[in-house]
Amino acid sequence: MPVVPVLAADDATVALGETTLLASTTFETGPGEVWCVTGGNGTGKTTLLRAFLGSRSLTAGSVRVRGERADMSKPAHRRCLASLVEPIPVARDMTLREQVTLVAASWYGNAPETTERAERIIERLGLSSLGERFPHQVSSGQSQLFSLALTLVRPADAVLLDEPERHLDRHRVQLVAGLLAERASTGTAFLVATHEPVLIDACDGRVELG
Amino acid sequence: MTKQDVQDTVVSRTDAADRVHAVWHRYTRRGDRASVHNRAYTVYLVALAGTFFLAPALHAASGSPGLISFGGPTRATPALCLLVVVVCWGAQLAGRFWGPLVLQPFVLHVFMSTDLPPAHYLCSLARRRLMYAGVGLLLATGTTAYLATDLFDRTDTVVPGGAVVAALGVLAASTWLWGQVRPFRDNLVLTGATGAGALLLGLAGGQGGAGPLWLVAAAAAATAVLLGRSAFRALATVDLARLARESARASQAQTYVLTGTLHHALDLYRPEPRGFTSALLRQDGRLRGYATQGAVRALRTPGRAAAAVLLLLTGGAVLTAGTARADGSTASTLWIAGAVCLYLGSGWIGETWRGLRDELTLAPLLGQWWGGAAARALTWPVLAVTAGTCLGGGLAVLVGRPVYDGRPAQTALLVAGTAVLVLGARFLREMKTHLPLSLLLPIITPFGDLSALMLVAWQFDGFVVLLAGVAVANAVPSAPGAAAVAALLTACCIWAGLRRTGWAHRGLLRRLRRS
Repeated sequence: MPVVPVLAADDATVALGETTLLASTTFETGPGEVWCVTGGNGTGKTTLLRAFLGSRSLTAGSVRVRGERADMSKPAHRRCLASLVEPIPVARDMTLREQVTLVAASWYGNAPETTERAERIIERLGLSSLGERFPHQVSSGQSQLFSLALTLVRPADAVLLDEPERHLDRHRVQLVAGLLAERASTGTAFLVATHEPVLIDACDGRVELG
Repeated sequence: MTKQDVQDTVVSRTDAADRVHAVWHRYTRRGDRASVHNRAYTVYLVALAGTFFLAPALHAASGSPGLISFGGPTRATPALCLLVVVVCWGAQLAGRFWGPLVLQPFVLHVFMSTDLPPAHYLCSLARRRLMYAGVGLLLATGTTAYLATDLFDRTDTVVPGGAVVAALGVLAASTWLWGQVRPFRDNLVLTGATGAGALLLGLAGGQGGAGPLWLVAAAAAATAVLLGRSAFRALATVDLARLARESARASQAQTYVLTGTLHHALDLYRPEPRGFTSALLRQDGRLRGYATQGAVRALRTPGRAAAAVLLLLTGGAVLTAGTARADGSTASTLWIAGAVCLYLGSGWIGETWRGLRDELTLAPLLGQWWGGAAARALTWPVLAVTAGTCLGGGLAVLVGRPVYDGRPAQTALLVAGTAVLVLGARFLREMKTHLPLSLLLPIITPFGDLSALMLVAWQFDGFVVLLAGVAVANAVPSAPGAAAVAALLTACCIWAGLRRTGWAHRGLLRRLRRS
C-alpha cells in the first residue's frame, strides 16, 4: 500500500492581478521527513505555508494534507497540522511555563503527560531557567524559542515553520535543528521556510522558489 | 521520544470535556488572578454603594410618585414595546462589536489550534456570560422602572410589567449572542422583525387591559427561546478567524480603556473605508473641492455615514422642537437630546477630524503653515451639521407647526448657538491625544479625592461640555444671551482643543497671525 504524503503541493500557484506571489510549485513530504523552502524575499515562502493553513487561497493547483484538500475547519486537519507562521498571541499575564503547559493541557487534559511534555520541551529548548518569567521579560531570541515551545509541545503529524531561526544565535539554531531531527524521527513531517544554512543542511528535501 | 508519542500524534485519547476543563482550570488560576481579599473588597464596595445609595433611593421611590406615569396598562404597553425594541437592537449591535464569545486572544488561539469542535469550548462560556448579562439587565431595568415609573405601583401592571422586564432580560441575552454569531443579513431581518412585531403589539396595547402586556411578555420570551436555540446551534459553525480578529481588537481596546484612553479604544472600532478609490480626483487629475472630498470619504464608510445622516436629521428636528417649546422640562429634555444626536452625528459623518488632529500634532513634512488644514478638515463636517440641522429643523417646523409660539427668530438663534456648541465640543474631543499626567494626581477636597471624577470628565469631555453648555444656555432668560453663551463656550473649546495639540500660547498666537 503506497504511503500517503503528509503534505503535498501540486502546481500550487498564487497570483494577485499581474503579480505572482507563488510560482507553480510541486512537492511531497512524507512522514518523518524534513523539507525546507528556500528563496529570496517575496518569492512566496510564507504564501506557500499559508496556503496549507487555508489563510491564503490558491489561484491554481492544490495543496493537500494527508491526501485531502487542506482545510483547517476540519478537526482532523487541525489535529494534523501545527504551525508557527503567524505570530502567536501570548498572554502577558502568564509565565512562559504556564502558557506552554496550557497548550499541552489543551491536548492531554489533566493527565500527567501535560506537565511532562511541557517540561520536556521547555528543557530541550533551554528555557528552564526562564519558565517563571513573563513574555515581556525575555529577549527576542528567547521569545522565539518560547514560540517554538508553544508550537512543538502539542502532537502533530506535520509542522509548518516560517523562519524558525529568527533572532537566534548559531548555538540555538543548531539546538532547533537537532530538535526537529529528533521529532522527525518519531514520524512528524516538517516544512520549514528558512534562509539558514544549518537548517537547510539538516533537511531531507528542498523546495527552491524564485 | 517513545513509541507512545508517535501514537499520540495521530489521535489524542483524552476526553474533549476534560481537555476544555483543563485549559479553563489553568487559565483561571494564572498569576494575576483576583485574590480572596480583592473579591472581598469588591463585595464591600458594592455593599457600601447599595446601603448608602441604592437602598435610600429605593426607599424614597417607594413613597413618592414616579417621574414617568403610565397610568395603567394602556399606556404602559407601547412604552414597554419601545423599550424591548431598543434593548433588542442595542444587544444586536453590542454583539456585532463585542459579543459574548470574545476571549483572551491567547486562550482562543490555544483552543482554535486543537481538534476540539468550537461548541465544546464556547458553549459553557456563552451560557455563563448570557446568564450574567440577562440577570444584570433584569436588575437594572427593574430598578430603573421601580425608581422612575409607576409600573410597579399599580396592581394591574405590577405582575405583567414584571413579566415583561424578566422576558426582556432573557431576550437581550439571546439577541446579544445572535448578533455575534449570525451573519449581517440575518441580523437585519431580526431588526426588522422585532421592529414590526413591537409596532403591532404597541398598537394592540391601545385596546386596554393587561392582556397586551402579557402578550408582550410572552412574545419576548418565545422570541428569546427561539433566538437562543438558533444562536447556540450556530456555535458549531462559528467563523473562528473572525472571532480571533474580534478578540484581538477587544483585547487591545481593553488595554486602552484600562490605561485611561477610551478614545483610542473607540478608534479601533471605526469601520474600514472601501470603494470610491479614485473619486477624490477630477478627470483632469486635480483634487476635488473640500466639501466633495469630505463627502467622498464619508461614502467610503456607508453604514456609519447613513447613521450619521439619520442622527443629524433627528438631532436637528428634536433640537428645533426643544428650543421652540416653552414648557419647561420637556423642552429641556428635547433640547439636550437633539444636541447629543447632533454631537454623535458630527463625529460619524467623516474622518476629517482625525486628519486635522494628525496635521496639528505631527511634524509637518512640507514645511510649517496654518489655515489650510483647518479649512480642508472642517468644511465637510461643518457643512454636514449645518445642513442636517436645517433640514431636520425644517421637518420639525412642518410637522409640529402648532407647537411654536410665534418666536421663530429666537428659535433659530438657539438652534444655531447649539449647533456651533456641538461643533466646538466635537473639536475639543477630537483633538484629544494622550492622557495628561496631571489627571493622575490626587485632587483633595472636603468630599475626598476627586481625581477619578476628573478622569471620567476628561474621557467624556465632549459630552460634559455639551450638556453643561446646554444647561447654562437653557438657564439664560434671553435667546441672544443663550446664543452668546454657546458661542463663548465654543471659543473656549477651540482654544482648549488647539492647546491639546501641544501648541503653547505664544506659538499658537504666532501661527494664527501667520494664517
